[in-house]
Amino acid sequence: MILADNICLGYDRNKNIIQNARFKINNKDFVFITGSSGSGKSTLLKSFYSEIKLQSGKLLVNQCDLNNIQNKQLRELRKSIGIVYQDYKLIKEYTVEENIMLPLKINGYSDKLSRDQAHKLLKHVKLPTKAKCYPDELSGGEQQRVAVARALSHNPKLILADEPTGNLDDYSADVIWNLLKKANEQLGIAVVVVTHRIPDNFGLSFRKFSISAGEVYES
Amino acid sequence: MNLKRFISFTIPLIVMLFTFAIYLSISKIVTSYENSINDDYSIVIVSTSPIIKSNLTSINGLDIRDITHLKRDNILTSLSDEVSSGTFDLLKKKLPYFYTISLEAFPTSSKLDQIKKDLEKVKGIKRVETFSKNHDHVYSLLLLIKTIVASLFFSIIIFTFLLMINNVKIWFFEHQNRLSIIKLHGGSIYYGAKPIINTAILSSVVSSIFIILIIYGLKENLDKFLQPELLTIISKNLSTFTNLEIASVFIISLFLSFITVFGILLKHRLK
Repeated sequence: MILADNICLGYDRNKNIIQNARFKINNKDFVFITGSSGSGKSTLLKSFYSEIKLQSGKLLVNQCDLNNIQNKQLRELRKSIGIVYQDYKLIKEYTVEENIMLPLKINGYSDKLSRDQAHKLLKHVKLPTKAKCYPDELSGGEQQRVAVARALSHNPKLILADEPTGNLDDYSADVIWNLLKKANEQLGIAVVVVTHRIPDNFGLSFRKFSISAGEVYES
Repeated sequence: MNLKRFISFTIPLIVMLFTFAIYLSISKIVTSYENSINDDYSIVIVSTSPIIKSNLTSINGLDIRDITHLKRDNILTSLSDEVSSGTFDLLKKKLPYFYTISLEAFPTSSKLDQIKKDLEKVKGIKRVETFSKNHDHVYSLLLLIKTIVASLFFSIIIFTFLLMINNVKIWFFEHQNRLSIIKLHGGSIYYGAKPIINTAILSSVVSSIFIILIIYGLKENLDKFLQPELLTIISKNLSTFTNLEIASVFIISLFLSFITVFGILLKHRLK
């Protein structure tokens, strides 16, 4: 699913945040990326959907070489990934339902099918009555649950989540972890989660990558 | 759809199309006036030798529709009783040939002057009378109005274009967040910009329909706005708006909207 070979990442060419990282994430893996604040966890995650370019090395995601990726290929790659952002990134002019429908619409699904899928997912994230609400009318926890529903809506091959439960109430965090576990266990979707803290009694086998001083190692 | 955005897109288009419609009308009036001058006036030539059309084909810019020989017999008959037969014979020999020339297309004043000079160089031609003095003032005034309206039209196109560019830029600025989220989900810039593309298309359609309705509305009610002298020529020209001209109103409007939206889309895509 993801193959990193000696990748270096950074916002400044002279100073890399991630140095010569080598790892492989397989289909159906559940991976946590941990590390202290500013260690480069989110930077590494962003590199998987090419929001940040590599300084050097080779990175393959869904068999796409991110070093030589064309705009069209990048769009196709992003269509096949579900992303959950720490700041939710919901479109405030869209209703909850429309936000969840977005990846489906981009993938060319019909309105009816997209709406049905959105309503199904809203039940899974325990927000069945919020379809017509706007994101501003929801709490942070509810917004993040909508963001998870959006990431799952188009049955992606890979879900990337950046601190999906940071600052959330326990109930919302539980709903999100359960959904991500289900997606991995039942649908075989590879999940990569950046987090400060892995939940206790996670109840699912997972891999853990730690980042320290720019180095990525599996523990 | 945002009504404010729609109105700010449509109003400049309406102003631009209205100027275009005025420009079309003025052009038609000028053309019609040229045709009427062409029908009413002709160049008169006095020549010592007979002239045929082929003698004059070498003159640059002289597109002759018809050349008419004015009969000398009428002049001579009226003099026959007043002069002696010897003088009459002499007069008959010496009296020059008179011709009137009608042109295919109405020439400009400078072109008419050149034609006059060229005709005077033709062997046998003694005198050439053009009609420039008769029509010059009215025609020049019409040409001046046409030029002013054309300049106004092009200025308004530029003004409209700049206004629309600003509108689209503001739209992109307002929807930056939405566009970046769509981009992160693999949506193209065109997918994200669908609302502004739809606004551009709808504005073009609405402004075109509005202008076409105004043209027809004015045509039906011209007597309320214009003096009777002007009415005949104006209404005649307005009634001859062709389908192509009406289509061109819509095409110009759509073209301008698309150029603006897709120009800025391209700029965003290249970023």
